[in-house]
Amino acid sequence: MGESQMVVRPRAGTSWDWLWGHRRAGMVWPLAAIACFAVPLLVEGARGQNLLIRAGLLAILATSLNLAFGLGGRLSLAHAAIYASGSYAAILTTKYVAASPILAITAALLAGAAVGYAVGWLTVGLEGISFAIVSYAIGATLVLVASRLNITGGVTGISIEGDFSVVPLGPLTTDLSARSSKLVLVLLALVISLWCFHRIRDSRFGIALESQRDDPILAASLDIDVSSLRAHAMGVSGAMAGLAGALSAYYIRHISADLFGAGLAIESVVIVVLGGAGYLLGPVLGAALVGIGLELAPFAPGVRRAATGVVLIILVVFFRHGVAGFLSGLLRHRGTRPHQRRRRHDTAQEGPR
Amino acid sequence: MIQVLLNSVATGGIYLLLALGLVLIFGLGRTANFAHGDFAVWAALIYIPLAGSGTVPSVVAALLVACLVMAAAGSLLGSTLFRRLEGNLEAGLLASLGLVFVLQGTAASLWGLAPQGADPFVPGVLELNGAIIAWQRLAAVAIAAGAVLVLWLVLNTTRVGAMVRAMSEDSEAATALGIPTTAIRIGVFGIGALLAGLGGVIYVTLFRVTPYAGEFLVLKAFLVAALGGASSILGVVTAAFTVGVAEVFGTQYISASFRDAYGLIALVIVLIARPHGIGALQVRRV
Repeated sequence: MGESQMVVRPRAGTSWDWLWGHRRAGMVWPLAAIACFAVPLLVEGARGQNLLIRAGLLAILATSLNLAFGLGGRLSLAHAAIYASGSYAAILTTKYVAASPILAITAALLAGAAVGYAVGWLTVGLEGISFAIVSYAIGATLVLVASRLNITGGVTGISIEGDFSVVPLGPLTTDLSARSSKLVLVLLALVISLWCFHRIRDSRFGIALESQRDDPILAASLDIDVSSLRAHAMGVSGAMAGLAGALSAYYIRHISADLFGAGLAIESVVIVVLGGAGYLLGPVLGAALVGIGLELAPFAPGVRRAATGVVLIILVVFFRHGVAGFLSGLLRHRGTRPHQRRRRHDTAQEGPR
Repeated sequence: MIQVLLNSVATGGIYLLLALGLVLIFGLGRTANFAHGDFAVWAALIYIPLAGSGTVPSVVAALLVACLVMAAAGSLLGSTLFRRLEGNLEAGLLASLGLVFVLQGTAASLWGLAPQGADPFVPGVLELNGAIIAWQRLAAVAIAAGAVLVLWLVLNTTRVGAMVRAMSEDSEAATALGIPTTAIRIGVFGIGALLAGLGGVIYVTLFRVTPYAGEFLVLKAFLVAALGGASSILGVVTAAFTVGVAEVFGTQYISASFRDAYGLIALVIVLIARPHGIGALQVRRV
């Protein structure tokens, strides 16, 4: 990559088109949002709802990673740390500022975006596996530091107590401490994340992101500011991961640094690859398979972890496009849209299109 | 002050031992092996029950067995999984992430989750002008120094070393010149895993490990590799001791809570100064 084109600082007036983009989503998104409210009626048992909440949180985290990795080609292993920053931001604002979920979620979005931007900025010049290694080094170190600080409760962690979670929204007033409302909240957040992913992917920002993934030099020569694009991608993706972290903090109510280790980072990668990187619904499929399928399997925790690893290796060796890629291969005669085209490296292996 | 310096050197020595094998494999196959730390943990967990009684023959035998098992596992993976994914760097990395889970999960099933430790090879402490340091730490530094020296000599003075260097420059050209690339690949993966095993056994004589400790070990190894550029042994040695000095001095004179952050600060400084990376970790300019 030519060093001269790779400007490290962003130019003034960067492309934020993805914020408005074009509108052709139709009724799918509002309907999906409404459907979220019906889920607790369909799944009533505590075990089922817990599984759905966990899978939903994983799906949001994976969607955020799908934005960075699937669209941007940035295989970030710092997302577990970004998720952690959202969790800590939510719990610390609840504890020390005010017991307001809206405030906590805002803080988590900001914290996630801040950590995402920081990682994104520091690594703009790195690509591929170098980026993955450095993002892992940064993320895992941040989590390690969190495990030694007093304010984060160190290894024992911190928890939130008390009546913090009533959202006063007129007729929509909800008590978030009930499990079913947590489930609705997580699913709504998932729908919103997917909607953001969809809008970003179809925007100029998303297309530019994909073009720098496939060929950064060509993208730079087309006057795409690759460096700031990468940083923005990590920032937006970070905000989404922060949201997932905040919701998980509300769900489990006690967080400690060991929740955010390499295990979570790798699990989110497994979910994205299993579902199909770059596909809108890939993370949802992946999270359903890992978060529900593997949880229901009668495995001891160690065996489950090993099985997850085997799944990833098999996918990498034999099925690079995941479940969504396989399904869309079946539906391919319906015509592909630009973002469904395969990545350069992958075509060599499977030769679709 | 002497105490702090000695401790920095000892910490750096351990990080160096952990990073060496990683850098060797990265340099040759450009495989970012995230399972490197788990190789170390496996070696440690194999070593502990074998060394049991702590007599000299059992310790030596356990060390040999642990390292050789890892070397065999490394060559096997290098010649099968990583060979198949050769040329697709990202896929190799993803496969190594899968390997992390496989090794952690099976280790947790086999040995349980309790932290385990082992007796040092060399008991006792050295007192020097009021500074106290365990002999085992100095032994760790000596072993790391020995490993570096042997590796450097092999890579830079022997025919095989020249072949390895040629392969890491351009694997295809090396094949065309008749270098037995497959055999060298298997050998380098084996030696990398062996070094991981050695590092793991030494680590477990100083600290306790759990089946999930590999992610911490590989973090330190990657931090060193990212700082040192993963291209030259000298760079890695410098980076390992930089991290060691930063951590020990930071802990001593600033705050112990941020112990792990000091190495990161060094990395951040490097990234700001050299945004395109250093050494083998840099983006290949086309």
